[in-house]
Amino acid sequence: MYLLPFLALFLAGGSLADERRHLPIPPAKEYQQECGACHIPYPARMLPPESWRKLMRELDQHFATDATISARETREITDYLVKRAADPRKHGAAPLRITETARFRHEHDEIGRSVIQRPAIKSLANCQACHPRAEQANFDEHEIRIPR
Amino acid sequence: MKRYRLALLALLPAAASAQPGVTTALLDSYLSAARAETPGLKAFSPQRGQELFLARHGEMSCASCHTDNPKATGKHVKTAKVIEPLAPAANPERLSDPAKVEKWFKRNCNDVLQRACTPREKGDFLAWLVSIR
Repeated sequence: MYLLPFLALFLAGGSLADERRHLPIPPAKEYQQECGACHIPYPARMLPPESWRKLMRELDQHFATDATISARETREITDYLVKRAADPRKHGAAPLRITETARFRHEHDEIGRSVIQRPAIKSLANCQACHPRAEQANFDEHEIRIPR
Repeated sequence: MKRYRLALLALLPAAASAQPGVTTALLDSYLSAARAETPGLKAFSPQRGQELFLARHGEMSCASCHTDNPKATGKHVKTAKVIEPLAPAANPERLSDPAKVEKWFKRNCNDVLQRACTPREKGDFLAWLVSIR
């Protein structure tokens, strides 16, 4: 009888390990407010520090828009992102798009172009189309629903 | 406004919803600035505000992301991110923070018009927005 809890833990261990590897940490309020209005607040861990530094230095040319914020906010958000960024040793280059990282490509390599072009999705930048809790930095693979 | 709605409004925390005082102050400040540019300006025009909102500039208009109905939920034209309704009648948080209003005028007028909106344009648009029930 007392083996049951251990058995349950053992069986749950697989999914628990996934959660532990990438515990979803909801984005900080300031980051959410300043960088989560036009797109979801992309998690800091998805790009290496140099990517974030470059993006934050060039906010006036932020993917065809001027996304500048105050100097104080720029400093604070850069620090926030760099502190939580991906390990630069695991990233050769420092792309400005998460979709260009090796990790992202690997995770999405089975998704065909025709799927991405569905009106409900439109773009790989639209994480929340298939990842319902993307805004809270939660990409749990068990929650993925690809719309038709 | 029905009495019970008025009573409910009194319960809303001040920071979360547009207090009439804040909105009036906002409109007054734009009116002062607009009159400095256009002496003799009597009042803002909700009609002009609506026209500004719907006008197309190339492929873009304000309605491209916000839809042509400020009470509706909008969607970013590139990223598909959900945008909460603009009209205070549908979204009580709107117009409660003047700094936020200015920030989004700066960004979005630049996106759509490729220039800053004038105080008169801002006032006209806000006059239209608050007139929506």
